[in-house]
Amino acid sequence: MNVNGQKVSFHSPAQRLLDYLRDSLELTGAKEGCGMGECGACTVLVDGEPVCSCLVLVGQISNADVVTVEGLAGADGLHPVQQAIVDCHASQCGFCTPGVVVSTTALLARRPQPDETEVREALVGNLCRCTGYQAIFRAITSLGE
Amino acid sequence: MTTESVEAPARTRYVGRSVPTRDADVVVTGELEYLTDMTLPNMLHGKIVRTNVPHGRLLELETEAARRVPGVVAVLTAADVPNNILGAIVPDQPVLVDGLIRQFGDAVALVAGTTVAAAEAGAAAIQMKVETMPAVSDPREALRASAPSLHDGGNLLLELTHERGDVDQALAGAAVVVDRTFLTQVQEHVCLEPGGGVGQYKNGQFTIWAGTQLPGNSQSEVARALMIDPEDVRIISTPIGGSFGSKAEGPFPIFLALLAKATDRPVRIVLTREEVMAVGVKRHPFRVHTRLGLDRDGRIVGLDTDAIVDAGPYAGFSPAVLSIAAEASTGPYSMPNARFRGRAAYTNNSNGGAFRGYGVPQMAFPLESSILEAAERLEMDAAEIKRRNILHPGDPHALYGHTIGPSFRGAETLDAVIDHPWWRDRAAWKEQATGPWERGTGIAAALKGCGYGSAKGDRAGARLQISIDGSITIWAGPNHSGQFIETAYAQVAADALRRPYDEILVVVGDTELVPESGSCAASRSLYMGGGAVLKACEELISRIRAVGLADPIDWNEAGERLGAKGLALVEVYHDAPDVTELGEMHPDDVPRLHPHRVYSSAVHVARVEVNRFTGQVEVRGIACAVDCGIAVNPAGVVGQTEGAILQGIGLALMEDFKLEAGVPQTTSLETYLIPTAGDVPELETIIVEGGEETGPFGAKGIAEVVLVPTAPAITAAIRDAVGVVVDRLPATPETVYRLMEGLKS
Ligand code: FES
Ligand code: FES
Repeated sequence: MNVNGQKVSFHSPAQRLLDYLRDSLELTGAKEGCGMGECGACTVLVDGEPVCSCLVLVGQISNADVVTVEGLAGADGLHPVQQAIVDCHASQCGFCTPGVVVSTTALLARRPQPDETEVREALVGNLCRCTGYQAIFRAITSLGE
Repeated sequence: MTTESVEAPARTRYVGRSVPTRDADVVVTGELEYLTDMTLPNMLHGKIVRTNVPHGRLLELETEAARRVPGVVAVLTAADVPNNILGAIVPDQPVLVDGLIRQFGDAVALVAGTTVAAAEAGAAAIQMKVETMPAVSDPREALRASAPSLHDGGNLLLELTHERGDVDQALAGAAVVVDRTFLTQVQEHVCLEPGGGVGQYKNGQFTIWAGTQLPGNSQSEVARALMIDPEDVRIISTPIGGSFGSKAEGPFPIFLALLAKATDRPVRIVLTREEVMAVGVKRHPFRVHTRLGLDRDGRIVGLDTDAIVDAGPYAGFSPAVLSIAAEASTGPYSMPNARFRGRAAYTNNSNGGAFRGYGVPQMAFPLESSILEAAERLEMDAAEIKRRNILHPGDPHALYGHTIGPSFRGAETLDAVIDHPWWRDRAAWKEQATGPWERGTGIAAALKGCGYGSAKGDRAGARLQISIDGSITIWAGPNHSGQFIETAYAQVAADALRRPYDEILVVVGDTELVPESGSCAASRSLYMGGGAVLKACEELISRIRAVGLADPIDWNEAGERLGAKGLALVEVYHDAPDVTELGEMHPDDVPRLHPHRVYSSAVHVARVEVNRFTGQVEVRGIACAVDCGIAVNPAGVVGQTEGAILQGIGLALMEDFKLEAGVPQTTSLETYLIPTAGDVPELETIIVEGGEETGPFGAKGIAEVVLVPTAPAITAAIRDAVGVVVDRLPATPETVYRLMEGLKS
């Protein structure tokens, strides 16, 4: 498995990907909000697709390319999605934000100019209790401008 | 979205600007370490053992097997708690149950293990023998003499009554009287971070990293339970993944302290979503009987409110919630006669606690619904009735009689919404309804006090250090509980000191460093904490003047001179001003009723579509006008407003924490539904200006009041669409469908 471009190995295939990332690799950007696929706080990219890392066991994806929120920023600064979230006040407590960033990145890779319905569909699995979502939509819209 | 932004006063540079949230750059990269992300060397993992009955007696607790589980390091029970007592207002809760079980999920033991799995295995090995008792699950039943008592003094936790004028006489002479009972549900906060933290005991000192809105309370609760000096307890309370009232009380910091002391190692406990759902505090459900009388001109002549509040098993903040509800029972309206009677009852249901709005949403729903019904019976426009009755500065508060202060902009806030196209053009919009979707528009208004209220000793502190090179650090509270309040503190300080915003370092959420400042609650953080920051800055400026420096200040020089004289550290306290214009209020009532001097207001217009066949409600738009004094950070005001509206939509339409005989039925996010990105209507925030003289640069607190009108505005819109009176929340499709069927028969 590759995580954020680096080859990694694991010892217990039955470990949840979320625990592997957080406990073994100390990548705590992915958060646990429910542990059952309902909140999206644990979202990471597995071969480019956003998945809930609380629902995946490492043994199921032993050859996959995993990208976490920590792997998105470039050497020269924040990923445009991250910068837009900062600029548009689209994060309050921030606990949902890593998952939102990852889901949005996946959406934009697929659809560089998503319409509102597509944005909503892409984020429907990422619960946010603070922002009311509109600021997140504004951040995404601002990227197309 | 359009947002009228406030023009900052000319002399300021940062107040009034939407500067980005502090730490946002490390939030978006996932680098910010939340307290549940923390690890310490040699750290153990803790697990809480809980009961699975809501009412009963713990007869035996068998822990030997658990102690023998490999990896288990400690098992603690009530016998290990030096002073087994807890409760911010009324100490009526054990830290660990030793006899009576009063809530499903009450904690009976703590286990620490070398791994999470070991701690869980240890917890599973604990055997409990419990004599179950029938749950007291209806607060009205709980108040009957025949009900089993959950506490020594019986089940009436508190009764609060007050009357101004003569309500019975007023209602007898009214042209219309609306007489109805309204029910509101239990609402769960669903902070995205369920909660947790780390405890450490070293050299006789405890350090507890646990998200809380009220670190000073955690500190004193830990000290009381462990019978130690509060000075020996340090609470570090941020960063935190949301709170909304939920992380303000409870035994959690004590659990960490007990385990850390017993094992002499750091211990982390991360709560699961299921645990928080089952035992975390909730928004209190209210049963409210309202009688509202109006004269023929649409003036309110009297209001009688009788509320029964389900406090759950322990007092928590219920007494304060009841008191805030009483004050808000008359809404943002003026009337000559009003009466309130509220009773909070102990039950074996979910534990009622703080939740954004603090009892006020439960009052606004009955009152606003009743005003709408009265308007229909008088064949008048609901907005016009509100306009005729809205409170103005100088009016007496309708229930308490004290004088409403000059910064209250209820009338302007109402007008901002009445002039909004969604309200103005509601008839045309309704006509364009198609298919099974009927359209309707509703309006609702609210007020809420800023701060704890008079005679509550509401105070916040700030410590400011200028170092030898002139740099500034400020330690201030209340702490960040999901909004990075330090952003606004830095804006206030930057303008007060006339220095660049980026040069001001602000630290919050640490009892060792921040002077006691009370809670990040009661719409007081910016109003009170910002006030303390401003005062500290003003003190620094006057010291700088006193050592002979004039404008423009040479900050290097200032740092050196103040340092040399031992004047580099400023510590100030800012006390909330109490009501000064008592008006009709008797002075003796002030310490009983805690009236506020400063109120914010908010008014919403909601447009909804209701499916005539299914009862499904879709919210299409909500515009909120908010009376915030001055918006220190307009994007922050918009963010608080939009987030609150979504929580209000949840309260109005979907969120319903269900219990059956005290046993939770909605146990996870699979069954407890909150609004998602798919549920967001068009939102608009209209900022209504007008400074408050006692707030920093004119600011008032708003993060609660903006939630209050959402539910009644939506239910008013439902009524406009399909003609039904929604008398209970949430207005689920089943409820609305049933009400529509009722209309037919
Ligand atoms: S923690 Fe994985 S979806 Fe909530
Ligand atoms: S910012 Fe708090 S949950 Fe989204």
